[in-house]
Order: sequence, then C-alpha cells, then structure tokens
Amino acid sequence: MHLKYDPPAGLVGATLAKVFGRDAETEIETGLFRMKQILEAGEFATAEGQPKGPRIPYRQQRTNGQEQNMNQEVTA
Amino acid sequence: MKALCWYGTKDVRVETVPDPEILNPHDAIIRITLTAICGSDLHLYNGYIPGMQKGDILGHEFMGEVVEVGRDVTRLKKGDRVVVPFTICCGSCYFCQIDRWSLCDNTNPNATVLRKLYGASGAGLFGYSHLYGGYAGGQAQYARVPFADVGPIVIENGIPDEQVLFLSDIFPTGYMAAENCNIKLGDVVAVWGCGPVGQFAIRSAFMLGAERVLAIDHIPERMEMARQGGAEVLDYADSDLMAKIRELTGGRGPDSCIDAVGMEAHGATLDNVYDYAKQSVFLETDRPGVLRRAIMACRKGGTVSIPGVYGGVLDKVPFGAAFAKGLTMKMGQTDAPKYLRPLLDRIHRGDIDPSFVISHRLALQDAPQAYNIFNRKADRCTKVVLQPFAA
Repeated sequence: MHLKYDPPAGLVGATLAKVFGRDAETEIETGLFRMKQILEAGEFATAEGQPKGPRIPYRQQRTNGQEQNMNQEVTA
Repeated sequence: MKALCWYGTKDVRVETVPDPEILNPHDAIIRITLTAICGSDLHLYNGYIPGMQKGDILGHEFMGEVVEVGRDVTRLKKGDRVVVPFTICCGSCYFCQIDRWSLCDNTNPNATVLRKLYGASGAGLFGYSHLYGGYAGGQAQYARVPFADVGPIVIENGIPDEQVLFLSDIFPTGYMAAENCNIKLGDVVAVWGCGPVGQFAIRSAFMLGAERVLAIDHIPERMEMARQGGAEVLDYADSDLMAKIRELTGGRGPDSCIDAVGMEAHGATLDNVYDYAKQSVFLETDRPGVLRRAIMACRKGGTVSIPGVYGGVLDKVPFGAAFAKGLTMKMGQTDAPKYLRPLLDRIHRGDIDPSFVISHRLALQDAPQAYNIFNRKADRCTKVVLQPFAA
C-alpha cells in the first residue's frame, strides 16, 4: 500500500491533523479497516446520510431561542 | 417522520426528521409498529455515555414491518414482520462466525475511536452514541436496518407485538446473563437489580435449572414483580444485606451473582456516596457499588455475570477478593442474534410471556415524559413501550 502524506502547513498541520484524527496513521488504519469490511461483509458500514433531529430543535426555534425543556413541564 | 431525539442531559424531544433511506446494499427500512425505552437508554439520558450529538435518534428495541430492501438483501422481503436485535452484525467476520455477535468486527464505522479507548471495538448499536457507530435508533416511525439479512428475525402473524418485542434486547440480555452463570441444577443465583433485565435474568435462571433466585432491589413494585417470578426478595437498603445473603445460602454465598444494574448504582451506602462525590467532579465514570457487592457475596469458585453496562474506569473494585475466591467473571453486550430463535420458541411454548414487564403503553409523542418517569422510577414505571403511529 502506498500513501503519500503531505499535510498542509507542515508540522503544525500534521499535529492539528492528529488532534482531529486525520493523521496518516489513522487514515491508513481507516483505509485498511474499510478494505477488511468490504472483503468480509461486502460493504463498509456507514451511518452517513441517516436521519437526525435539527441541531436547534423545533420547540426552541418556535419560542425564539428560549429553552423550553419538556421534562421540566412534567415535573412542574 | 417523527423521532425521539437527544439534545443533552435530561433533554430529549420528539422532532420531525427526514425519513431514513437505503444507504447500503444490505440495508432494509422498517416501519416501526412498537418500540421501547431501555434502562440503558437512561445512561444516555443522564449524560453518562460520551459521543452523543444533538439530534441523535435514540432507541434500540424495536420491531415492525419491512417496507423497503436494498439490492443485496435476499432473506427479508417487503411485508415481513420482524424484530430487530439491538446489535448490528455483519454475519461473516470471525466473531459472528463463533456466535459472539456483539463483538462483530465490521459494523461500527467509528471503530477507530473505540479502538483507541478500549483497544478494540465491538458491533455497532442502534441509537447508542457515535462511539457505537452513530446509527439512528428505533424510537421513531421508521428505521434503517443495516445487514438486514443477518440480525432481524421474521415473526409470523398471530402473536402480539408486545410478546415478541423484547427479543430485541432485554430478554436475550437477561437470558445471556443467566447462561453466563453456567447454572447447574440446584444452584442459587443472586440478581442485583429488578429492572427489566433483572426480571428476565430471574426467570431465565429458573429456566436454566436454578433452584433458588435471590433478587435484590428497593422499589416495591419491582420487588413484587421479582417475587411473582419466583425469587426471594431482599432490599438493598437493608444494612444487613450481605449477612442475609450469607444466611440464605448456608453461609457459603450464591453460586453466581448477576449485576443487572451497571454504572449508575443507587443507594446510600458509604462506597456509593464516595462514587457519587467522585463522579460529580469527573474523577470517576461509573458507580460500581453493585459489582463490589456481587464480588463480595459470591461463593468461592462462583461466577459473577455482568449484563449491566459499564463505560469507563472503575474505582475500588475488590479484585483481590475476586482473585482469592477464584471467581469467574463474564460480561459484555448481548449476542442477541444467537438467542432470537431459541427464545422465540420458548415464547411459543408458553414458557414465558415477556409482556409481563410492561408498565406503560404510550404514544411516541409522549416519549420525553416517559423518559422522565422511567428515570425517576415514578408512577410504578418498570418498562415503557411506545407506539410510533398512535395519535
């Protein structure tokens, strides 16, 4: 396997990449893991593109940013 | 569709989210007819499991009808009625092949993170944080089920949803906990925690040949339910608890002890107060009070079986006692697919009707209130099932 690793901004970039899990070691590990998945299971597992609630929930938007915690309604 | 989404500690909401789509050739889409809240969902609700993101859909106990299948799905077809086990399994890796489905190598897309934390990653789980794959859960109207040919079990019509739903998690989990005890005829098994998993562990222990089961809890209705299951019930708030367990077992201790509580043990004992204090300032991740007691109570050469979830580094666990007494410890997520067929057969035979554990039947819309009640064990709540399409 051949991988050319040339992080932007040199050493600083490489350190930042490591923090965010995008360094060469993690990239290679992820690549090999995906290859194993395809060989064994016929596809690589993903949760990308699955449904998810909005980052700002509807009730909060409606009340103009005021936190409305449903749980407190129950206990009140 | 409507789905129950996580927004933070004790903050879950029912939101309108996009419908799930087929993303991989082995996927299926299920229209959910019944779903449930699990005790382990409360660890998410209380903020003890890292790797959650705002908007994540919770829920890993669900069943329903197949409405769409990916191009490589051969076993399931549209219209099939299925129960979906909470572990997502590829069916072809080493671990699936040796029947250790919960350890599947290939279904956690975020395996790298768990590998850094734990040294290895097990199977992806529905609705159980991004550590376990970030899969959308089943407290929703529809769910995407990856590797649909492997996990889900087809259920024929004529048997109500409520009787088979718990094949998804808590029945196999209680059963595996009892199986892990390696019970021999005449054994005495002690079960800490009379929540749903504890209830199934009690009944499974009897099915597997235990002569007596001691059940330990503090909540009256759960203790009563354990009694109905044939257990002798003890109160964990009793300061003589350990002495009583010894007395009831001829001074020897139970042959096996099941910790069906896990990381959020309650109780006003000295060690638990210590755990609360450390946990509140993030010096400890778990409160292993029950595990400590299970180890101390167990007879020499016995087994401690741990279906309760632990997540981090445990403090002051009497490992010396475990060693000195030559204990066997067995634990882990449930290899759910392994148990679906045999346990469905038991339900058919009438050995057990798992719906006994249900205390609340609500609409998905009421899920936030249900979490609140279940978490406080209020309103005699032992188990909540939710109907996604009820008004």
